[in-house]
Amino acid sequence: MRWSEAIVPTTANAGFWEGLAAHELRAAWCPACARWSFYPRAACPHCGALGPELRAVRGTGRVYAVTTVRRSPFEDLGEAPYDVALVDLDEGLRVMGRLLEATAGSVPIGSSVEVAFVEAAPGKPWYGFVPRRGEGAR
Amino acid sequence: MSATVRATVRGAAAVVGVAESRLGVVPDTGPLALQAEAAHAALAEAGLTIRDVDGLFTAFHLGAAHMPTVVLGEYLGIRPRYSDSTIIGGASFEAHVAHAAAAIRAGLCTTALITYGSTQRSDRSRDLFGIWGSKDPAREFDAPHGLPLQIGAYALAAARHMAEFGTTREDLARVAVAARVWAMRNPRAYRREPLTMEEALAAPLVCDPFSKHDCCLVTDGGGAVVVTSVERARDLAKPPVVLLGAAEHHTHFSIAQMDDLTRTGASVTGPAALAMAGLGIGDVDVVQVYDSFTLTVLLALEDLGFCAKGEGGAFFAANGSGPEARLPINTSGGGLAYCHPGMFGLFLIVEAVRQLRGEAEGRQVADPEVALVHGIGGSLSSHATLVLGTELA
Repeated sequence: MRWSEAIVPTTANAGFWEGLAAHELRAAWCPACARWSFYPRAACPHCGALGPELRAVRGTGRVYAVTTVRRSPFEDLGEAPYDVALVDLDEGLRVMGRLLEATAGSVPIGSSVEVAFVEAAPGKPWYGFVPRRGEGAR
Repeated sequence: MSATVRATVRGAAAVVGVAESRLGVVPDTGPLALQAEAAHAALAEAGLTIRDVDGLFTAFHLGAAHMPTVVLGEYLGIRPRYSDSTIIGGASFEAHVAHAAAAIRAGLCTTALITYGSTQRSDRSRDLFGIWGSKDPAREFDAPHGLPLQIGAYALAAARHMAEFGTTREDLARVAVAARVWAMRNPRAYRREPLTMEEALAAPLVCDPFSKHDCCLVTDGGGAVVVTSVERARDLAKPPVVLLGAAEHHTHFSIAQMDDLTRTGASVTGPAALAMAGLGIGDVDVVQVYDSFTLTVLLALEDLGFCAKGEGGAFFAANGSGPEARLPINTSGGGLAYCHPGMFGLFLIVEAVRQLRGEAEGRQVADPEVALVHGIGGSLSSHATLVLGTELA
């Protein structure tokens, strides 16, 4: 399978996918309990209230865990090793992301990162993380 | 007609809430969202919320999600102590009510949520499997990042354990080496040649920090377990192995949804199963714990209570391996060396029973009375502990 074939937008999550196309990472914010969650759902997983709101996060955070993938599930990402991380965003939620533009093993746990947007193929927006530069960087 | 009165499920439970989600043609949504709608309404009708639910029952098909309650639990934010994904087609839900009643009568849960959902009409398919993978959250939100499962998920957990507690690749390799020590004594094991620490550490990494030696085998195989009442068991051919304690729990499906990668649901199920058995961790004579990866064993030993959090590597090293070990762990050779046909949990039970009966050819532990068996599923997602004993226990 090629990487772009794994990107399967659904109409149920149209707002999330529109966000990616507009270079926004959107997560769910619950007005009832004021907590964030990701991925977006029909009900808040913390309090059960229906209708959490889709909102953009800033996209900055720190690496919580990271591994170097040396055998990719995707045939077109199979050449060089790459890192996949779990990132704790500043808003207090965690998302997975591949580390883009970074040599494998060069972005350890605790590193400051920020979201970056890519297009795997026309109509297939996606995102990852890059080391955070400048203000706020480690 | 028999005059014997038996405790069945008559009067064991009552239905307190019922609801449907939107019905008919509901585009732009999915099975999980519809189950969330219906669950919210049924609980609200009863004056309850998701926080009250400790037993979760469902039967639905969603792409590659082959653990319906685990995926549903993650979606709803329910982390049950009783979980039943029995799928027998359209009769599943009637069966779920009976199973829920039995669980409630046994005190295994208090408040059961039973759900179902499908968007087969909008997905344009009479195939209950729907469009393969299209509405599975892990497929939509995780898969494109390119993390191979399950190795990538457990590798992330290993990275975190190493960063927080200083666990090393040597600590992990020691588990792989020990598995072969037991496998060499098991005539049915797949990998019966020894593995040295040097070999384990020299193997190329596949998903850091794991090499192939950190990963369970990929084999064929099947297994079966037969259970009756203790009374009936005494009339049958083998010495009974008695269920003394049991507990289950799941917290997430995807590793990205796990609160703390170093603390698993075994910290709930281990103590609960031992408490039910009326036993302490020191009463356990032999342990069979799912070894999907080397790390999994260290995490389980910590969370079940054999050692403190973060001390798994040191505990395993001090414990020794094979018949010399203080605490015999994974005496069949485990998923790392004996077999692993996809889901290893049943074989843990088989080995525990053989040890307790004194039938573990070539690897018999001296007179064990209590075995602890711990199964793990998904990405450290689901846990179930059994405490088994001889009749002397």
